[in-house]
Amino acid sequence: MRAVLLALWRPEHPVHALTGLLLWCLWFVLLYAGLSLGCVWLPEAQALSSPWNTINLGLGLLTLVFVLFYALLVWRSWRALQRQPEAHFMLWLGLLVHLLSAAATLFVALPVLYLPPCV
Amino acid sequence: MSEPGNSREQTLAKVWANLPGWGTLAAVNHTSIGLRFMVTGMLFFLVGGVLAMLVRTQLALPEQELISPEAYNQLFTMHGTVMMFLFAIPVLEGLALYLIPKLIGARDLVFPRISSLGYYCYLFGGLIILSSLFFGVAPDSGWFMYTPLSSAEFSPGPGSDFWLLGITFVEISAMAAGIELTVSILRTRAPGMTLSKMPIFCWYILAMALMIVFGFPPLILGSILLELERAAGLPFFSVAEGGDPLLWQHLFWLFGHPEVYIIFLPAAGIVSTLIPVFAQRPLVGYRWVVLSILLTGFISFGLWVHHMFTVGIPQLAQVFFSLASMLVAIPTAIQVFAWLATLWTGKVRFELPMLWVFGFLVIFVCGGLTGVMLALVPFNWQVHDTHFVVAHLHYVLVGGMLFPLMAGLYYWLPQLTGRLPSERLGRWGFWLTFGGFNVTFLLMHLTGLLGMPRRVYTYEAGLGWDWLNLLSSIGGFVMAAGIGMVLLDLLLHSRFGRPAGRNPWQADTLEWATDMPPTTYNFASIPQVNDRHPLWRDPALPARIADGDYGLPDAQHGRREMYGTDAISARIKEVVHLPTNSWWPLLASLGLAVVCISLLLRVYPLALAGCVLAAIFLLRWSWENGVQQHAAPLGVDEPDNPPLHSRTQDGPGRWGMLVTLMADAALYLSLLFGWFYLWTVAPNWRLPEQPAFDLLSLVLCGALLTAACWRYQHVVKQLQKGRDDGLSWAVMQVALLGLAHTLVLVKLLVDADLQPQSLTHDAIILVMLCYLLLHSGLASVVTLLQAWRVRLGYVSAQLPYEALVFRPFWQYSLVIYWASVVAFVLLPTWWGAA
Repeated sequence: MRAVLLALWRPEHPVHALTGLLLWCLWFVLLYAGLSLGCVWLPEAQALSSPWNTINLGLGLLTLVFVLFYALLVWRSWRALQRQPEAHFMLWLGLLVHLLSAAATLFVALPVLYLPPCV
Repeated sequence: MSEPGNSREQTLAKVWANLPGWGTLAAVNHTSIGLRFMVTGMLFFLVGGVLAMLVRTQLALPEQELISPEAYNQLFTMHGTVMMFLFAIPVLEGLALYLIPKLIGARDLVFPRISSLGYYCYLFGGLIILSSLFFGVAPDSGWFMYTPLSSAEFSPGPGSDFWLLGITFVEISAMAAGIELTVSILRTRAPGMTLSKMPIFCWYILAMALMIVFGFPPLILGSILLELERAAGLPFFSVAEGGDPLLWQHLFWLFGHPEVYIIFLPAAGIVSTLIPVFAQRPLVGYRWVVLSILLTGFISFGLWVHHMFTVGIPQLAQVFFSLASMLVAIPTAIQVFAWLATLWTGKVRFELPMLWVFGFLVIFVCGGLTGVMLALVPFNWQVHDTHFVVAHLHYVLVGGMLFPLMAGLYYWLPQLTGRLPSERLGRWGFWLTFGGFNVTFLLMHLTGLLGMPRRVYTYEAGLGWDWLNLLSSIGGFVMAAGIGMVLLDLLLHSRFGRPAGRNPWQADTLEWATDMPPTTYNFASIPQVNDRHPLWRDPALPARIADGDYGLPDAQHGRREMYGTDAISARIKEVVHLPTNSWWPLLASLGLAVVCISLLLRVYPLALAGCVLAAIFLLRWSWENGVQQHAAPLGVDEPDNPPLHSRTQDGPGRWGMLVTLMADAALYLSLLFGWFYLWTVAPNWRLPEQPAFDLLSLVLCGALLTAACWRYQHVVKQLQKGRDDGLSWAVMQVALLGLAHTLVLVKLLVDADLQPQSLTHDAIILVMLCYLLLHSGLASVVTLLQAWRVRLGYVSAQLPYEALVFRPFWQYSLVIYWASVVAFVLLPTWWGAA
């Protein structure tokens, strides 16, 4: 099992053509679910009229964690790309997928900075 | 030299042949099944087209009474349903089933009997849905069947039932194709064809297949829930008892938006295949196009709420989906620029298929732009439910699917008949279709902007919509004439068309290395592929393949064989021996058709009998596999380097099981989503006063399942080590433990005192328990049969394959049991206590 996990973690493994996007999907589900649950369960949520509140802060932190993880994945792919030219196709694909997933995450999360959560 | 070659080809032809006469119904070969899908899909397309013409006739002039409002509702509902579910998806699946093995250098798909089952489910399901029109009881709530309009209260007739049961039946074929194509592409590519050397069309189909695997289950679940509500009164979408009609919208569009890309991606794959051939150069930015396919596939799952902007969702959530909707335009634009750059830098031959490609580029780009407009929340609110949305939908789907499909049809026509189409008729067909389409739908944008709502059977004169509707109707008939011209061309060319010769378009991919029309085994020998454009690199390759210079040139053993290769490196791992013609898929689908029809008629004992019948046929089918003596006698004439896949521990069957479980997990996650959604959002959601289950009983029940799973795991590990002492008894122990678990679960269900007709909470618990029972029951029965098979020598240390294939099913059953205990029982209890 450990060997399988280690093989999957290697940046040249084809699963990394999907990792970034799978993470994006997970982040998106957490973002939408977090917002919806926050609006239902926090007593003061409906009255919030500014973006600076617990819900938006939580969503922002969530986004930050994911973006930092993407940065790690990009860095690993970049380093492997320098060392393993024979796996160029998969490494290059993985690197761009991670990079674009990070960009997509930041882009979609942008409104957290300027919209109240539950209005 | 020629005599051995002829004899070899005759043997191959004999081994791979369909049965004669009525026996052709037992065919499982991908060429036959793919063609059947496409021909059936085109016939449904004609039906859908006639319905569209009736709609346009009614709307041509204001205040017309040609068609009653009731009939009009049925017409537009059936037009959308037929075009989306019975034409667009199946015809593209058929194309993929037909082409993929030929493109990847294989002789067939990995699970040919499942292809056949898929076809019959599609055919029977389609006919059942269509029959509702002739009985005058067709569904009439629109092709997305919103509740409560489609619920029993507002649609008391059988129309919605036809839709829900028929579509679920048809979706079996989509799931079958999704699983089959995924495993085939990953595990049976020609030796040397690594992922980076795979034809670009295969990337598109791989993405489409995986999207089907994850995208269809939410709709299957939604359809089951709505049918249960209508037939048995379980209130999933009824507010009074704790349900919510918006749950249907979520489940539908969780499927519905990815579906747009499930339709678009293969069509874009056709374009990415054709443009390099006619530009006579490789596709510019192959890696960027692969990247954009992956991005499109994933991001399309994050857009579903943009169909629901007007239902009262907070602005912040709407903006998330709005931005994600704009985001998906970027990978599509990458592909458009790659196509333009390929055309720009190539020497383009303007032959007939390219006309349709240009039609696609123009129309689809326009549709994409109105899509970005609709992603903007204020604009979306403004044009919601108007003809603007109808126009956008047709620009995307007709431009993004029909035009590339026509291009592909003309391009691959020599594959089907060995002849070329008529340039003159073909051009007439294109220009009439292109002109008629734009007259119809470009103007429809204006009709929508002027405020005409969709789905109204008539309108008052003088609202500014009269001339637009008239011109739209005229355009619709011109388009129909264009399609008629294309059909005429297709009919005439098989007799009068010029012989095409091999590789008439000087293409680069392997499907043109087959005979024309192709033989049932595609390739007389399976080539080594070292380049993304094998026929450009080596034009003599087809001749050498035909001469038997490459792998598996003989079939004296009587088996249908091809290579199984590593998913990443494409190195040969095993020889996959495939099942031959079989009646079981037809019989099983007939059993399922009996279930479907008797549920429609509400004759439940007959439905139960149909279920039992279908289960018997399916289990009997599964009894026959590669380990029987007649399929591949053990040790007699048996290759060992590479070995037959049924002697290995990681054949395609295991991959098929894993992909199937991914789809199953998507269904379970959809159920979990429904549970949490209703719990948090439904205004009248309430828990029963007393917990439905005793926790200790649940734990004991789970312990039995855990023990069964652990024992099975142990059995498999022993087999992997080459030990099979006491195997039959060990497998029997697993089956008995599983049966004991199933019986305890049944008892828990009986003792639970659920009120599923008056409480949505209990209705969902009931569905969850049935889901668990289905899994543990199936696992136990199959394992019982496996114990019998051990005694017959079909499972042993030499033949461990079956046990390895089935192990993930036990593991999955265990995971969903404990996940359900936590999510459906413990969590509400803890939450209530807190």
